Amino acid sequence: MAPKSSREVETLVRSVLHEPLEDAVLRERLEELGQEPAFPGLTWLWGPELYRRNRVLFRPLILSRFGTWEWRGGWSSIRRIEWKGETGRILDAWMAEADRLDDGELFRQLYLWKNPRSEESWERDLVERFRAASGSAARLSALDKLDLRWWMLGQDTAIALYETDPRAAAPFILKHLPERGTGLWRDLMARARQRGDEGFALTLYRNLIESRPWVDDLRELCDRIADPAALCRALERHYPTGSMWDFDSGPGLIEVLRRRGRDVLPFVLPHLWDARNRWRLRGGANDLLRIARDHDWIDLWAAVLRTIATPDQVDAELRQLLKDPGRPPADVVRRLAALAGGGRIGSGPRGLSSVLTVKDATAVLLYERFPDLVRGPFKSHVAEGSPVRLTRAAIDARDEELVDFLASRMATRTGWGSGRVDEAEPLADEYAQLKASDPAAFSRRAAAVLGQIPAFSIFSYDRLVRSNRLARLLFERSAESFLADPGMVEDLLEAPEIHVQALAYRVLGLDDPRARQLAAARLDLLLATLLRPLHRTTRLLAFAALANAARVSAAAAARILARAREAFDLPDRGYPKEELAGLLGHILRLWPELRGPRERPVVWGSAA
Amino acid sequence: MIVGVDYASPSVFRTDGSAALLGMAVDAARPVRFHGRLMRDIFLVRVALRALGEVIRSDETLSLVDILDPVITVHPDRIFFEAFSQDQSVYANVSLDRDLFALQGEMVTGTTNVDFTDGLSNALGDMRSSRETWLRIDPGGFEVATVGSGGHFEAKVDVPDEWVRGFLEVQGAMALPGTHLRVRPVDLLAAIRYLRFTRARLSPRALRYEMQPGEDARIVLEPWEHAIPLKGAAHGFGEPRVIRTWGRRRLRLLEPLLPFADSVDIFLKGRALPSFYGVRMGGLRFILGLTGWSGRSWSGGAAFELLSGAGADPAPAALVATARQRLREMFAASPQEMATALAVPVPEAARLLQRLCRLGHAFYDVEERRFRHRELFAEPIDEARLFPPDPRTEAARELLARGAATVAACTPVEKRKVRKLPTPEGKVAREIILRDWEVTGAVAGEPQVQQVQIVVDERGAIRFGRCGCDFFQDNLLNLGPCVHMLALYAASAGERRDLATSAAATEGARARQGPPPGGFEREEEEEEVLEDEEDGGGAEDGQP
Repeated sequence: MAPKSSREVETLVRSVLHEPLEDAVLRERLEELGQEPAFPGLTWLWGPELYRRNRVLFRPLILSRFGTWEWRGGWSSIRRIEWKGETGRILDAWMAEADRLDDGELFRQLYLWKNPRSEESWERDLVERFRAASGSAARLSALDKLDLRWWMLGQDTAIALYETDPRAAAPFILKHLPERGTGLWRDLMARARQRGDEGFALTLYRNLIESRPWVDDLRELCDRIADPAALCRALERHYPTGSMWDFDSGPGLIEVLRRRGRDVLPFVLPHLWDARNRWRLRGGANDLLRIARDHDWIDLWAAVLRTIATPDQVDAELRQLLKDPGRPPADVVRRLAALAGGGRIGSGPRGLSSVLTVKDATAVLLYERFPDLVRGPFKSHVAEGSPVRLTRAAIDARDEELVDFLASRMATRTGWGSGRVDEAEPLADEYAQLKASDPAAFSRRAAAVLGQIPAFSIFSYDRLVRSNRLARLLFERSAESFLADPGMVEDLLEAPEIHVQALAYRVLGLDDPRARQLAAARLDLLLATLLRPLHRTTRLLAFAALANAARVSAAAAARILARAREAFDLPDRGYPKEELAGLLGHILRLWPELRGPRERPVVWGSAA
Repeated sequence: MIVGVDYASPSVFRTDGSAALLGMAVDAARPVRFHGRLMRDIFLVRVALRALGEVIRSDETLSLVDILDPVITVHPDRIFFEAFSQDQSVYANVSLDRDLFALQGEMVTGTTNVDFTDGLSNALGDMRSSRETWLRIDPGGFEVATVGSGGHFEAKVDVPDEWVRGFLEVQGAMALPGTHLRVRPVDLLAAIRYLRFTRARLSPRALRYEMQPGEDARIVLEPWEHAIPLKGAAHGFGEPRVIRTWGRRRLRLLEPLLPFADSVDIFLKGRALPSFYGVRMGGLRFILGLTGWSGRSWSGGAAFELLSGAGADPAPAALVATARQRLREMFAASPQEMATALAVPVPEAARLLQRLCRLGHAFYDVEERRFRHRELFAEPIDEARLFPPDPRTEAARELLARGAATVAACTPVEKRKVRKLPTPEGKVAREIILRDWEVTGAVAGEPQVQQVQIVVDERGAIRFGRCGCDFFQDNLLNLGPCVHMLALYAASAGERRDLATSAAATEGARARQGPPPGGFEREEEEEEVLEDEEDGGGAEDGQP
């Protein structure tokens, strides 16, 4: 049905309003008319009338259909309805009524209609109304009526409100503060302090303070407060809040460190993360690193490198540390362990920490001196870049643990943003040779590699096996070899990456007695595949493994049957229910005694 | 509330080809020790602990306030891990049977905080059934030279009072009487998956439990009115009963667990009150508690206090202290056992145990139906600050006790609109019914309160009201509802029934449906957009 024109809807509204209808019936009729696009544009016509007639009943309709634009037969031709002439007079009266009845929500809508872009008059009205109100409740109501989202106060208006009624005005003022950078409201803060309202003054400070004056204030606090714990508390109370994108906290942190040294580390370390992006852009870690080095503060040094420093700075520090002939090895290890992370110092919220990118040459240097660290806390850091030389060094050193770990990262490379795929070639050669020379060792190592591939690290399996020889070798050309060791298949089943699990299902679905026994032994995990969200291909592989398990014993088959019947109740899109029915049929054919009454075939014979 | 934690080192998960150690660093100020080898269900322990990590991470408000680290409680028969989400809406409790472990050395029982970071949660993905796996809970920390670092970590965490209050209220809510359903995991999963494939931003969005006499219970998903039978879920009610809960998207936290679960127990405490889901998996139990009310709603706190009876009639402090001491010795006790131990009537014992929960000295084990000793904090909480007496709630409670508040009428006010809703089978047109309850009544003995009126929305929030009392005349609803409205709200709780929230769209309803109503401004104001989840249908997960 085509929408009616504005004129047509106006005629209909007028006629409905003139009919002698019960309020409830009238609302129903107007709800129907309210579906017309032109209806909200006639708010000036039906709104005041309905509000006067029964505001409790009609208010929800008024608020939900309130509109200030006239619709002229198309979404591209609309016109704002002016608040003037006869319409203006009607609306003025309505606004006065909403004002008298303290109907804040409606008043705000009407106020915005009448004064679309006039923050100055808004501030004037605020002060006038706030001052004129008698009693705290009336003042709250006055503020509620002019609580316009996104509109910002000036300090003079804020002072006028605060002086009139601080308790009622304070939350409103905080809600309508300007952006940081427009200056600190020192006058208002002074007045708050005069009243003993330190909390409000500090909240204003934290929302409005800019970087440079903040540093001056921190300096003053450092000089004035002797007790370290009290100082840290005071610094924390002065730390900015609200929008931080335009705030540079770095110079302040450096200043307090210079003045008070380790005393302020409990304040500085948790805030390094906040300063991260700005500092990183300016290469600002140098000042902090210098302070940390001068005082030999390992915790600060490590935290700065983990949060603020650029990859080049991290690399330079690492090389300097590793090449320092005068430093005892135990001390180097202590510093490296601190740098590797894993704890909360210098981390983001809830222990979130970033991975350092250790350059290949530095990684080799580190490996030569401290191989345990590379295999341990540094392993995720060294694998981040292009560890070509490190891979070579690990292969040469026959370091199976490290080689397998590096292979687990190289095996997911497709050439799309995850590093060069040709860097996996030496590893592909290594594992191919191993497969040829010692199949049992290859299976063990391949399982170790696959088990370490992180979840969600393979985005396009087809592209991966097409482009990456190592991945092809591990995923596509070794399935049968895993059957040699049941433990390896179990590990693959529990691997975090879904494609590795799919490989395990493929192995367990092979037509091999060992696969059947293994599938029955880990039925607990296979049963879950019936209910987990899986892609169709993966699920079909799991069905094959389940079918294999069902061949081992009637007990296993019964468990599978029970869970498979349940799986029919899942509403998953794309769940292969036909194949699930096929699995059921397959099991019931194998074990006829498990058939339910309706699953037994009826054989009709000829009449005697 | 300032809470101190002191860890000698970070928690670690260390593994090689044949063995693994899950080393949990705990607060040195509250030393608890446990060292044992996991003999079975290793994979399930991994799934459960990673789900616990998800609960800690889950936060729909994206706030970054400080919260308390998860709490670990070692009892002679079980080990409990508890966490409460940052947005105060989800509680999780993982408990491991003691017989899952072969114990090594001395076990020190008690409660403490544990360092449980995102990094640790992710590292748990390397747990494997084929490896010898040890759990060690140790305040002395762990060797850090080869497993990561950060070293000693000590902090004073300023935990928001609201968060602490929410945590303690959830504990109290667990012990409230309610409805228990034992359901098949697949049925709950079917509800979660339906919501995964079809997401409505359109109200109403509750999850409704319907219990008809002689039939199994069922879940109804709004606004589709899609019913999922809970096969075998007996309820024992002799008359129809409906319980409506909100915040159903949080149930997704259970999704990784359910494919491995043996059974699921659902504990419903009432309309818009907390609900609890207990997942049994081998020797583990995972309890997910969902708050049923909005912490930010100004009517929520008062309504919960009134409907749950929390905070009413506190027991004498000396008796509470004795009960606390007895529970410490017994580790776990039902109200009957505590009544015997203290020689008090059972209701009195139940009230005492409930109070211990409110003070952070105990939690309720919904599955065993016993209270467990657990000191949430090293220092006692400041109850007066956390639960300041609300004079209006107290006065409303008094009116209810006297039977002074009477409901004259409680009528649904419906608004209907036709909308296309996504379903797994494609979009379907349904007539959505938005229903508020208009309640009128009076309060005896107060002449100026001839008539009280409230409008309660579908979530149970008071959206509108009128009263003749001075408090309302002075403040309208700016300071929340008055005493009389609160009393009327509680008195009408039984009459505000949960009815169907959508119906098949009739031809008449469809014909009335025009192009998008309201023009541009209204389109921006109202969130009535329906959208498919982009990753819905074919999403495949990794191993939990």
